Amino acid sequence: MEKEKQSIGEIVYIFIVGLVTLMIMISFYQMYGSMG
Amino acid sequence: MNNYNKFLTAAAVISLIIVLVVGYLIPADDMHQKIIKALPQAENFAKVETSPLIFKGTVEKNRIIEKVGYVVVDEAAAYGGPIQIITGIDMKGNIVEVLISEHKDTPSFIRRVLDHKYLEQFPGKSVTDSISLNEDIDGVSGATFSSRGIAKAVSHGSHAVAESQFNFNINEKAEEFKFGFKEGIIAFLIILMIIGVKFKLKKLRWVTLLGGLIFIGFKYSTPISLGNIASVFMGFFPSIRENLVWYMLLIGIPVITFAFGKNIYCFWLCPFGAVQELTAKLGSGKYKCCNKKIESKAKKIKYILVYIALLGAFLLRSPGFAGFEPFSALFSQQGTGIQWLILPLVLFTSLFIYRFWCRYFCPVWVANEVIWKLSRYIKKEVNEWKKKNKALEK
Repeated sequence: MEKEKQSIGEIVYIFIVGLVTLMIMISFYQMYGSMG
Repeated sequence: MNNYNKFLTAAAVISLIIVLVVGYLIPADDMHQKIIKALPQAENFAKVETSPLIFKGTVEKNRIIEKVGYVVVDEAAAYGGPIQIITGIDMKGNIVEVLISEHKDTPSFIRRVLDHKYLEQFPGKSVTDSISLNEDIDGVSGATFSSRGIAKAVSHGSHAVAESQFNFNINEKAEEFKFGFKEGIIAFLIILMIIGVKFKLKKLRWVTLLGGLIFIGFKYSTPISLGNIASVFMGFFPSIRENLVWYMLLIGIPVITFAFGKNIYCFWLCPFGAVQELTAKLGSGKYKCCNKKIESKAKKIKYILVYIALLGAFLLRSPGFAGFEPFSALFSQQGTGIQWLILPLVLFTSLFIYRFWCRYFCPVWVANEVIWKLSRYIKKEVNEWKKKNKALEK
């Protein structure tokens, strides 16, 4: 049970870090667009 | 640092230097179309002055060439970099059009200026008129540096036309050295921070951190951003007389970081760091990831982001491109697009993970880390050199 909780925590953790990274990448794209 | 990391770091630095040089070599946009737009009644333009650039606009009527006005191109520093302004002037010496030719400022500030129809305040003014921000024209709140830069470029350009083409004698107001409450309070916080670090007064940390949150964050919205750091690399320096705070933060903080060999700014002054520490107090802020391997890999994300941001800024010759932090979205409500999603997500996550943004994404953290690591490396090398010299003397 404890291990299961930990692995869910890990997945959520990786998901959020990945999501913010993706959003920052999109912000670069948007910034590039606004400069054109 | 192992050899592989050393190689990657060297390759990244070399490629950034190459792109910085290439950015300088890319020719600027053709401003001819904008010059025509600034004085549409003219058919032909001839350069009459080079500093600043002044064109004489003419029309041909019955084989007689008639002068219809002037166009002046001048530039001034804004927040992220210089703004180049084209001003059209008729033969009565009145401004008829003001256009932004090109700019290296943060796009959201320029958008704000344009949305507020700031440029429409200039037409009708005479070339002899004084054009000072908040005295003769209203600035745009939240884009003060851009407003001031535009006003300065229009004022300087139109006065140059008045003197060289209309033979007026203009007494330009000398730029005053600005040291008010803003400069005073930020200098005070920096001094307090130095005292706190030097004498290890840990309780002072919360004072400077909250001071930073209130004044550097919400009140004046001038936290150090990668956009500012890119400006330094690209040689865009604002006037020290009007932007002393910029110099305190962009020159003062790196010098202090180097002197102490520690990342002081992030822990003692950064307003976004303060917000995250407060949210961590609200939530538990104690959640620790999992697997150390994943954690250490995730921590490298910020270096990749800094590389991409600087690469884009140098190539586009626009430091504003590098400012991907959600700072302005929080402190001056001027986010761009998806930053409005990044901000709440980061704040929410930092309820559970201590300094979530600093840990994985913050480019200012990376900049400080480079400085303190460099400082420690140099100090170590100097000490070893001294030891060797002493040994040789013995």
